[in-house]
Amino acid sequence: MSLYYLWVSLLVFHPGLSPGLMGSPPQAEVTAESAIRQATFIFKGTVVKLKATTMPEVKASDSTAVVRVDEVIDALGAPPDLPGKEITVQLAQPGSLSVGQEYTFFTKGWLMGEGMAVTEIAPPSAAGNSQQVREMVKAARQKSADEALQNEVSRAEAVVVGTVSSVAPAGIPELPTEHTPQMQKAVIAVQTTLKGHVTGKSVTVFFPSSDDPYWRGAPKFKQGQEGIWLLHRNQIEMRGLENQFTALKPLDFQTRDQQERIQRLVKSGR
Amino acid sequence: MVRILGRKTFGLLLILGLSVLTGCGPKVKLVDIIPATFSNETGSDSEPNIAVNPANPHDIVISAFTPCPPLISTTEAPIYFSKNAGDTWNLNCIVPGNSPFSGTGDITLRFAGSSGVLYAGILRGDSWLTLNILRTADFTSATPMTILVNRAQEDQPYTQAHPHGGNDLVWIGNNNIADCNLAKFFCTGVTGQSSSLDSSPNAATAPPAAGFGTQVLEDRPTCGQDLPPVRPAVHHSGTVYLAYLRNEPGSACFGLTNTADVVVVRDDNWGTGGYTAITDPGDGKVGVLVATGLVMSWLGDLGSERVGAQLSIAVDPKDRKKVYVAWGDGANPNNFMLHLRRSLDGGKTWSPADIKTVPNATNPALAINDDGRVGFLYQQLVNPGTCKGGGVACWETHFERQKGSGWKDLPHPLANVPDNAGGFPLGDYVHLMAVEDKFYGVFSANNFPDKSNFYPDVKYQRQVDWSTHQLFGDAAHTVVVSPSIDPYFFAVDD
Repeated sequence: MSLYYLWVSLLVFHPGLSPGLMGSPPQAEVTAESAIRQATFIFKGTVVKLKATTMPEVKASDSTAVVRVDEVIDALGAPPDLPGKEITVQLAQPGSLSVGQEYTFFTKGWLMGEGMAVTEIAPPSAAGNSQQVREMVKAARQKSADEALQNEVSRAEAVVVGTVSSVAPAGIPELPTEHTPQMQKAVIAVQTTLKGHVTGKSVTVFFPSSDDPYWRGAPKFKQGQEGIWLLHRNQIEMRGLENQFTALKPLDFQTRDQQERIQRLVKSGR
Repeated sequence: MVRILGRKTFGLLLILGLSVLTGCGPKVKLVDIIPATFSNETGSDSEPNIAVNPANPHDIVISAFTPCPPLISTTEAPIYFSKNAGDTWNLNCIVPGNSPFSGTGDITLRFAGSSGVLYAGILRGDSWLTLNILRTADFTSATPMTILVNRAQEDQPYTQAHPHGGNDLVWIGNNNIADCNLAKFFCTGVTGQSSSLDSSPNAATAPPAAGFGTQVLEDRPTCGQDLPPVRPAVHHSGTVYLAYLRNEPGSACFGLTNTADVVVVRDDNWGTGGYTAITDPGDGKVGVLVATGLVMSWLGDLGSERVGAQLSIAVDPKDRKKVYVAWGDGANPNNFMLHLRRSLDGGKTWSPADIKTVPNATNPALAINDDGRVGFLYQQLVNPGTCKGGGVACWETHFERQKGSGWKDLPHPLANVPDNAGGFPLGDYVHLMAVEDKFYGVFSANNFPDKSNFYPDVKYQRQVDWSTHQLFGDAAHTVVVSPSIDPYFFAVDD
């Protein structure tokens, strides 16, 4: 079965994923793609018990079920030993499950404690070929990642490939707080410009060196470092940084192996 | 006779047995709150805060710099909660503004009481120096907390709450950076009197902004901006104290040091009087100068922890005029020292000398229980130390109680752990509070699993093998994870 037919089967044959079809009650518009995009935990599981929970913090109701996780399809950062565990599922549609049946669940994590509770994004589909669901999820995740990077590329004034030739204190006064970024400046010897225009063969980018939790995720640069910089002006409101290039978000620095992908995104954004 | 002796013997045995079971010293509960299903995390979960519901102490919520697992959310940061007095813990992501690297920014939490509403003052993790004031009526729900206030250019919101007249009153001390008047910086203010307060007389149910209004506490000129901490303490009579650190006009002003004064203001009617109840006899300004000319390292390192602006205040539930304040100072961060002083007349006058001093320490936290007993939590760098897990320097977390005119430490530090888990391992504050006669607190520490590093009977929920000193990501102990910084809940009942 091709991915196209799997999409169609999910959309047409499952009432929860195709609102209005097959006489299902009206409910929030949820397509297979949006269910996958919203879901943070997609798994194949068997219903163990209805109107029950695995955690005392979640009250049993018509909207809860205990489900055994048979196979994790997509779950970034999930406990490594989830398969075989029973978890609590808060159902999108009470009465949509049968005990003993295996389904593919599209859920979002809720509680992590001694056990786990998740909430359904949409009623589950009958368990099918999980490899095909994996491929759909992989495609959806890649699409989301490309959109995020595309968004950042679009906002960048310039995108350059190069090497850091020097790093020094930025020498600008900073608003005194415990969360001060402690700005430094890196000079990048530019090899290729993928977007925009930079004057000369080098460009200076300001970046935070602070280990304050707020700045943990901001890219930090070292002399000799190679890569691709997505350069922004006025990315943060800070005296001394007006009209200077910064690269403050994790996506603003990419490794060289992403050059082809970024070139493609630059072109598609034109 | 035999029957009588038998009864006596039985009674003695019963007393002995109970003594053995309960122990003669304080009862201490110590729990690493990282849940079992989050055992694969290795983040630096520092700068914790705690809220115990005074109306139901089984309900406890803790915050820390923990990013939400992407399995749950990429947009909301987590809280940890317990529904059984701290025995077991869950993680729930309901705090707006998650950063994938730190979770939320600064955060403090409090319950007022029977409403069960949880309040939080935070700096969002996804927006620099942006204050949110939040509430939720159900901290176990998946629904994000409601945003009551959203404002830029703020620092270190510190929350306190108390019920009164059927309403929840909430105070959030904060450093209003927007009022910085240092010309060379990006400041929008003109006074530099940045120690401020946001408060609400009815925070539980009113629609946003739930009655929250902001006011400046600082009444003196500053060097351009006060230091971050502004700490409230509330007495059930309606007396409200706030302590803050004024940055003196002659201060190096966020150079390598600051020169600061400890200031205490008071209001005697739940804040309706504008916190002007006490003035300093020296300059006649609002707020009594507890200590002046204190040189404080600005973000220098004591071990691997930055220090510079540490402050705590507590009022005695039995006597609204008995109030304690603790702070840290020292031009050299390696000699940073904690000082504890007391007022017996509602903050008008203060003990001229320290009633307790702790060298090489940070993160003071004070609370006073219903018996009038003072609890003092702090973290001290000991170099060379005696902890296990590598390195030489150790962070010892101590909890002392005042006994008569002296102080009594627990028989073992709550934690005595290596200072080898990277920068900023503790955070800028911890918290201690009391409900009735019991103390509750939270601190962050290296989780290297050696029982001798912790108070006896420490409990880990995360997967651990104490005999091999290893942490694991799974119950079968096949996936090894590295030691890191975790938040620890404790309760002391003596």
